[in-house]
Amino acid sequence: MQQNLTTNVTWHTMSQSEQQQPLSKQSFLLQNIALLLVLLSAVAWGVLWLPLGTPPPQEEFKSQPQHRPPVSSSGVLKIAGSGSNLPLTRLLVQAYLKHSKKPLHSIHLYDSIGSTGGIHAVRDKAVHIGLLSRPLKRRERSPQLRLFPYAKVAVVLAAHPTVPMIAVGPKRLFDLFAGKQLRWSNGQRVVVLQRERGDSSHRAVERTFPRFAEVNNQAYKARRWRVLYSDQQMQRALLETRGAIGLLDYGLIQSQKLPLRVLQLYGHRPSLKALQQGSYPFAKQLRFVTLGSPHGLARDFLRFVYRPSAQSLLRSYGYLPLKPEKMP
Amino acid sequence: MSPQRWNQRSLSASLARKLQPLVFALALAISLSAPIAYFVLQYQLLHQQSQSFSQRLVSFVQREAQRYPVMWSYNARKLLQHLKRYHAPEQLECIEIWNQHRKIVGRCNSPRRSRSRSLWTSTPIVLGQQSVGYVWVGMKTASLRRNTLHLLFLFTAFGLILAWALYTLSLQTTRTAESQLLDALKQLIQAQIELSKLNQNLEDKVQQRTSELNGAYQQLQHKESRLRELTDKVLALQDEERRAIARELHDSVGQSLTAIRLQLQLLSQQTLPPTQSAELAQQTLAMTDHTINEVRRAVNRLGPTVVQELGLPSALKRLCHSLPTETTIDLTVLWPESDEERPPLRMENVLYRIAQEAIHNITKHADAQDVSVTLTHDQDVVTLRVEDNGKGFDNKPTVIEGHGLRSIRERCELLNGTLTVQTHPGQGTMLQVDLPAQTLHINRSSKPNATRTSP
Repeated sequence: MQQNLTTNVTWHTMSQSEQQQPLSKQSFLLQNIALLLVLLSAVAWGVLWLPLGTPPPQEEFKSQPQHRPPVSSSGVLKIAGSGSNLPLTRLLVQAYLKHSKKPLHSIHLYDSIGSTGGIHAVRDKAVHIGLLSRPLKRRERSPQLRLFPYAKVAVVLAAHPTVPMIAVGPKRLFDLFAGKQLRWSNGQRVVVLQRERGDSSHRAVERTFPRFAEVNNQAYKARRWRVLYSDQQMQRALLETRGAIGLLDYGLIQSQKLPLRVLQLYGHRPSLKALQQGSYPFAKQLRFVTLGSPHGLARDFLRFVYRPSAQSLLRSYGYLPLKPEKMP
Repeated sequence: MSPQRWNQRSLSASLARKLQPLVFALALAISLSAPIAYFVLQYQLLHQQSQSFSQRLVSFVQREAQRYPVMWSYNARKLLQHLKRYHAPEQLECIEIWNQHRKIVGRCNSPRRSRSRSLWTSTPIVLGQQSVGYVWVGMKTASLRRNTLHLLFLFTAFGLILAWALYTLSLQTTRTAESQLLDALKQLIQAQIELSKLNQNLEDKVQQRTSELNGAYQQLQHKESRLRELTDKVLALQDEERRAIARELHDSVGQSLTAIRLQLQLLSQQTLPPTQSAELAQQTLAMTDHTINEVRRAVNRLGPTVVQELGLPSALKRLCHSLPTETTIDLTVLWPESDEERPPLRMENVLYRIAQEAIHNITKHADAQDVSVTLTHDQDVVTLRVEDNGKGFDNKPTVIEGHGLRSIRERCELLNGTLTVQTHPGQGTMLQVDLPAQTLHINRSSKPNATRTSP
């Protein structure tokens, strides 16, 4: 009787697959968890390392031989480089053309492409003469490059005429670039104009005041001030922006007679005499660079630059003439 | 392992096996859905930003190239720095400008890590109808990958926790339900076992009681049989006694009275009329005749010797003639002629007594005009039916039966017969006695040793 009752209450019939040991069930669960973790690991690996789009092929930065002009065949002297050199070089070109009675189109002076661009253009033989406003970097040095320093120019802190200052000490200079002083004494807003990193004018100041490099760098990182990428832009911005200050070549101001206020930096007043005596610490050299020894029109032009007439022209615009170690 | 325990485990295991793929899919869906959605949306956003910035960059470069067809590429680095500072999106990693010969002419922020980890888009620089280069823009994907990984870990943990909670709660609930079900089942089994035991005890008790009742019933039947035998013997003795009395009355008193009558008749013949002695003799003779009739009637009533002498049909006919003359009698008798088929004398006596009692009641109480007496005999039953159209009576169970009707019922039950009385006040009476013929034949051997005597 009891056996019959037990048979009646058995409501579930075991299938063959269900009649397994508990260890198998646990291993099945562990297999599922392991599979899940493997899948998630695969997804994580994909998230970490999956390429998103096709990257460009790895290629070293190289100069551009395709721009190599027929230097000697065209008969046109091509000059390009730093914007700091352009105003003075433009005056020298005009004087050379007048002196040599060559046609105007025999020399092509390009707009600013920077010292780096000038070096690469010379290397690519895209131009005959490059314009440098800074020394060669280590990686730019090459026996084929010939440097011809031709002028030294003072770097000054130029200001819009509305700025009520005539001199700026180092602390004031740091405070201005660090954004600690936001108003001039007349209530006008302070506007600091920066050049890009590695600019020759900034480097000239940084050589004297290493802390200026730190403050300048912090201003870059904080994007505190407007950054300009050529002397021409700096010149235009200083002229157009009230309360603006920025580093600019003294020769640029003198040669173009720009209505800008030149502030004394740490009590130093820019002048040819100070430059010649070396008492004015914020200065940079302007150089020509050629690929190998210059010849032809380039050599004629460079020889003209070192003539006394040209040297006096340099002085007349506030540039201190320099002589190369070896004349072209 | 008991079958119940086996089933409990198997049910949980079955649920677990069916639940595990669902839980696995749920954990996988939760783990992957949000991170993948975030990754795809952020990738599309980054790609759009990259394309937008690349196109903007190309427009700047095209403008420069138009101004400086040859020298633009040497100023590209400055241009890139300027654009990166003022126009670059936050996630910009690197910008590269390639010329048409697939050489880099300008690069800004070369990627620190593998170039393949950045999101790259390229846009051609078209000057006039000629392609003069390409702008490649690489966007940082580190934050996208990092945030996606964070989301993946977060949602994986969430998915695993949720799936595990769902899995364990379901199994726990099922096991609890199974445990409760098993307990209820055990209780049910125990109750069924106890019920079966109770049923067994009850059946045993019923059988015992039935056996006891059967014994008691057999004893009762035995006692009833004994009682019936005793009653039968009593009645037989009573009949025998009555017959003895009747025989005595008939043989001694009747003969004496007959002798007295003869003497009186002689005396009256010897005395001349109209003397006073003669008249007295005549009166005494008349009184003697009356006494003889009374004795004869008493003899008839005490012992139905007429049945022995004449048989039941004739006895019934004579009985009917005892009714008043104004009463119409209809007597119907269907009775076997041979002695083998006739019922025993005792039964005939019973039937005669019943008929005698019924007719006596009719004569005494019914005041009937018509009386019908029917006696039939077939293979199974002997039926005596007496009807009248007299006053009838109330035959309710509460009414106490009279001595005559009770006597009829007792005589009927002695022979295992049935008595049916149908009557209503003013509507006559029908009395029917059905006696089993089998009983009659069984009892034929037990005929009393009655001797037929003439009245």
